[in-house]
Amino acid sequence: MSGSAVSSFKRWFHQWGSPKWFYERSLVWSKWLGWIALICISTGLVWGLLFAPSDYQQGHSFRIIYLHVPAAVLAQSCYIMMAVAGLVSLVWKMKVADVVLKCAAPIGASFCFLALFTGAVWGKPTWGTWWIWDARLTSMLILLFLYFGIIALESAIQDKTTAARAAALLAVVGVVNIVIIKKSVEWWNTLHQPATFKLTEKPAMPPEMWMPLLVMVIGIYAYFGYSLFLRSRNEILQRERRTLWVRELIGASSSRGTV
Amino acid sequence: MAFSSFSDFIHMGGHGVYVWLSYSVGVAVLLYNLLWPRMHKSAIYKKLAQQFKRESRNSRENMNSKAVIDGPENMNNAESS
Repeated sequence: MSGSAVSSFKRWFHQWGSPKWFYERSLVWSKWLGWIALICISTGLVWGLLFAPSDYQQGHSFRIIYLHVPAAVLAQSCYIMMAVAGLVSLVWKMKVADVVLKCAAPIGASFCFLALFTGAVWGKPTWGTWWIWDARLTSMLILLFLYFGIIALESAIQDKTTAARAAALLAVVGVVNIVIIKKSVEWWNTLHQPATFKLTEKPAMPPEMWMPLLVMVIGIYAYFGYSLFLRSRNEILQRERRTLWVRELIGASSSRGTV
Repeated sequence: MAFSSFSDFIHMGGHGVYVWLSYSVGVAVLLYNLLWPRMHKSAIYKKLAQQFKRESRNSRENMNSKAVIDGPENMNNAESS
């Protein structure tokens, strides 16, 4: 019994090591994620901008939350995922993990930038300042620099294996910063309010405020997955260009004229 | 609905600048993550298609010339160039 479970786990794990398998499966996953993202983000935007009530203190600037929180949550989740991919890459030298780690970095960086930008724009009418050097904001800025660091390592080191090792190491070490971001609102006095969603508690907001937010968070996660698979497939095509299956894939698409 | 008119919606109770600035950058980030990988994909397809065409032409020519000079046993090496 357990022997067959172990062997089926091994087979499952082994599949993840195959770029071709990942490429083909991701086409299916992408399709689903793309639809979920489209539906959730369009619903969330309309709901958040038009229908959610305004905050009694902040007025309509509160609506920035529907971008700010999903972007910030994603920027952190993306980094944690990269750290896991980095660990897998360091321990098992799995090609797909290298690809995912490399491709997630620019997406995470763009959402981290969005979180910082919307935070600054939201801070102006709410706190009276674009920026303060407090724990939450500073640790979020460090996250952006960690993303830049990983992107720089990936592009500066010519050898793919060395680049992947360096990026993986930085991703794993940098995960400390995620803990600091999470705890920053508890450990230090800060202008930033505590987490909007907690898994263990009911949200402090009324449902007509947090429901569109939840929809947006789901939408942004799906969008991240969609974009990550797009980029990963591109990267796999380039890395595996000497293999027969890529040759056949490109040959088939160029003969169909669908480039 | 939280607004009574379209101009109310644009104005956002005096916070229109902040809200719309945030949302336009948000849309830009979303578009970047969609369009850039797609453009990259078609560039890769084009580049690889050209490369494979060139390689297969070269290897055919190599094979033909090698077949004359060395005989057929070296034909396998043509792939490795």
